[in-house]
Amino acid sequence: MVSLRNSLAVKLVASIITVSGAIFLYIFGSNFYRSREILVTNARSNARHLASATVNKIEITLSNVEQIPYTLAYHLEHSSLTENELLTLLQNVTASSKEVTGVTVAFEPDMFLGVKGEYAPYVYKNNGNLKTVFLKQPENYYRIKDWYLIPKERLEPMWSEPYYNVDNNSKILATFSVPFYMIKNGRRMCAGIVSAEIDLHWLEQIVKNVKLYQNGYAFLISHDGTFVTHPQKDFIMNETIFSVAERYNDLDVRKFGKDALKGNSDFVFLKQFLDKKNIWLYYVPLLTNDWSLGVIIPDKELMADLNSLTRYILFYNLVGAILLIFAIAFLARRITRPITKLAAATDQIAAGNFDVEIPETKSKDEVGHLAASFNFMKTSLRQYIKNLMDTTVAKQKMESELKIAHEIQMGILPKIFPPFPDRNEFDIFAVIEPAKEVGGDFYDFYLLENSYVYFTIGDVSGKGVPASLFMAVTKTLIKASTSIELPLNEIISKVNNDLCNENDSFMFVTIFFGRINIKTGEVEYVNAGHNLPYVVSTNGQLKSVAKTGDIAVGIVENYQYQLEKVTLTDGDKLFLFTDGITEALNVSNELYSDRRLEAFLKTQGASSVKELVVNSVKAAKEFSGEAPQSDDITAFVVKWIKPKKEA
Amino acid sequence: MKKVFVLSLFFISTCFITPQQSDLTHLRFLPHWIPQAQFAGFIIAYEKGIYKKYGLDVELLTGGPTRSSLDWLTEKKTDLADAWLTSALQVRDKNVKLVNICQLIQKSALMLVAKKGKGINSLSDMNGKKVALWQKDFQIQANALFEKYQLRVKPYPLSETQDIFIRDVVDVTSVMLYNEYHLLKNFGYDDSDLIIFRFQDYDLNFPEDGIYVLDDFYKQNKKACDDFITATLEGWRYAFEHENETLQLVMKYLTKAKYAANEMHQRWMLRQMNKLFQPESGQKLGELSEHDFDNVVQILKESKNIHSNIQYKEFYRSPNGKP
Repeated sequence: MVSLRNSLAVKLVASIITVSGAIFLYIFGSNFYRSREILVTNARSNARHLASATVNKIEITLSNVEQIPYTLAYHLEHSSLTENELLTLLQNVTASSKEVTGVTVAFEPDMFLGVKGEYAPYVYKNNGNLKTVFLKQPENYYRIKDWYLIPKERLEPMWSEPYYNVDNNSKILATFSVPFYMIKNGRRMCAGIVSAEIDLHWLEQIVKNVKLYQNGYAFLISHDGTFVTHPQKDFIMNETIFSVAERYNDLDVRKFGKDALKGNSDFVFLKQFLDKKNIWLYYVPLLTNDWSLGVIIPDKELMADLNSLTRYILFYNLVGAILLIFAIAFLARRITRPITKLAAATDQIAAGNFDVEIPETKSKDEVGHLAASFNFMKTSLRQYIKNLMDTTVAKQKMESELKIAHEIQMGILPKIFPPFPDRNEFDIFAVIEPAKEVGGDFYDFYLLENSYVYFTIGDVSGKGVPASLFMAVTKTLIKASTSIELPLNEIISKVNNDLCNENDSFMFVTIFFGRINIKTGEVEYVNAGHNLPYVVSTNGQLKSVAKTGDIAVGIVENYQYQLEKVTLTDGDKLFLFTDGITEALNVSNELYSDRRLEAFLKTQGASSVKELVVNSVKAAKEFSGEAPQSDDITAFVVKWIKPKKEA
Repeated sequence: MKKVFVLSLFFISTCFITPQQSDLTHLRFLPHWIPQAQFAGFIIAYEKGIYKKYGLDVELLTGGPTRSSLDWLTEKKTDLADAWLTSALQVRDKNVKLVNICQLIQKSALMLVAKKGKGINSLSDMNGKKVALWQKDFQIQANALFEKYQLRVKPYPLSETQDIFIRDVVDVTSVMLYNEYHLLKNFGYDDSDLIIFRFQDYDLNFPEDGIYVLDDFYKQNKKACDDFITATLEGWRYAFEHENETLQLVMKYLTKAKYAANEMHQRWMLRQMNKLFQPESGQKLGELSEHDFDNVVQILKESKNIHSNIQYKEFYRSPNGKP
């Protein structure tokens, strides 16, 4: 069983939900922000329209008020009014205006008719009646008042900052002042200021009527940032936009205030406005008096519909995701159930139970194909394993027979060294290393009549069982044919004839056959196509024996082999070998060769027969290194020691 | 047994009760301006019962632009008055024997301010510029400064607002550090928008708010006057340590007197007062510095605002009785 974490169903659910979730979030997110943008754009446009309408309303009234000082200034500049005419004009004008609460004409010293010094009549409404007072020093020294001094110095009209009524602090007033000019001593100069004063309570009403969403509101700040209207009453005249920014330590509000006072208009997002909510603020200047109107929309209300839609979408997507999980899980189960059964059956097969039933699947999909393939595989495996078992049995049998054959082969070779421990005249040692279990090399020796040691070394063509059988036959034939009177070449010729007879398998054997006269050290020999042996002297000198030029045994019937002789001196070792030594290959496919063998033998003058045999085989094998042994290796040494004169 | 215990408890408590209303010494005090944080210590001493603790029944009169505190003192409409040192010296010069019994503001808060980037970077740049100055005593330092550095400026009268400065009629205006300077900030000016000139940097440090009393009255009511000073200084210390509580009371007074006010401005004012009160090292809170006094007298004489030789020892009565 697979763990839940690794199960296909869980993986499918995880990957599909992840991918579809990511796609959903991307679409949802971009949709959300686009919607938000649209809402903000609409809110901006709504706020702008509303603010513009409100500003227009305010500016119409302010413009109406502005007309009064402008008209009065025109009169003062273009007609010479008597004091009575002037006062009547002021009273009429004040009475006729709905908004204006008072009008002042303030002259520079000595600028009005015959009046010496300052002259400044002020007509104002008081409980429905008109009152006239003259602003005089010191309590009403008008020439240092802002409404007078600033327009006079700047020579341009000015709306004053809002201020409280001197008599009644509940009224907030503002004054519009216009300088007027007269010609005196031929010079046109500022003769004074005409101003109209208005009560600003109507402003509050207009601004209060601005409503956006549930709790949106508007406020008005003056030229220096003082609140003229605000839903929070204690802000009015007490706080400026900057003092509020300072109280809430809100640099964004201060930034907005500075921008608004510059006469700019913008729509900005303010976080935690006055420590409460996130809001959107649209602000626009009143061009008439450089004041600024701000319209506030709470972000939460602006986004209310979007937020509820968002919650709705999120809810249904959650439901959809849950349904999707179930659907995928169901589908995954349908796919994995037969696979799980197949897996269980496969486990059984792996355990060697080929009789297990592969579950049937009716479906023709990939899983169906898989089940069919499994069934076929099971049958094939069963057949294959049966074949394999049969082959293995046969192979084991053969290997065992080969082993026996090898043992037999080795058994027929003399293996006890020294073979004649009581003889001092000669010493013999031999080794055979078959390339396969059963080889074609052989050697033999035997002592006849205490005077001759016969010795043979041979190499049958081919290897394995046939070669070893042929070798056994050859060895036996040679030994059986040996008789002291018979010359060696005739023995070999006889053996050749015997082997050629009925040699259907066309095998042959190279043979070096010789005998040593242990008294004289004279060696007679026949060489039937075999490697010529070397004579290794005790001083390390090396010589080859003479060639006979004869061919291998078993090829040509009635062939006459030649006899040759060589005489050993005291301590000479006759080194016989098969081509397994000289044709030993190393990993670079180089032959060990006669040259290397000769070089080696030259170092072996002082060696015993055993050392010479063992070392020569070892040298050839070392040369081969990692390369596999390609042929049987046989080395055979006979050493002659000159017999001591008997006492 | 129980009755005896209760009775004795009553008896003991009556022994430690605070002096009755009738036992309190009645004192009238008039500050020289509207009730704002500039006078927070007086308001606290009154509201927190510190005056009463010292056996005083203090009547806090409401000051304002229409009431000259020293005129009221001269006319004995108040027993104690708060006023600038320069104003008091001029009154004293007219043979009104008033004495300073406590100097609250040690460092002149009056300063000149210009907008940066309008050509005024140093004092000498004021030459030929329009400078708005308040009337009377508010001009003395400025005129001394212009005299000292031989600056010819065009003086303009400054009213209650800073509009002529804001609307660029003048290049330089006068502000009090604790008041109008912060108002400018409340009108959107940053510290970095303004360049300021403090008179103390030009050896024209005029100690400002101090408490004055007629010498005769002081001699007759020495203990009450000294207690008034002790209580007032205690009120100030409390005010500086309890900012929020103090501001609530100040706002209450301002609203009652129908003045436009906001808490942040009053907070600024209170904090500045704390700094301005701090005397030079080796001097006590409320002590009039002889060096500053002599400097002011000399400048007033040079500018012919006073004519007589007023001596520090005759003019200043320290709260512990030693001049």
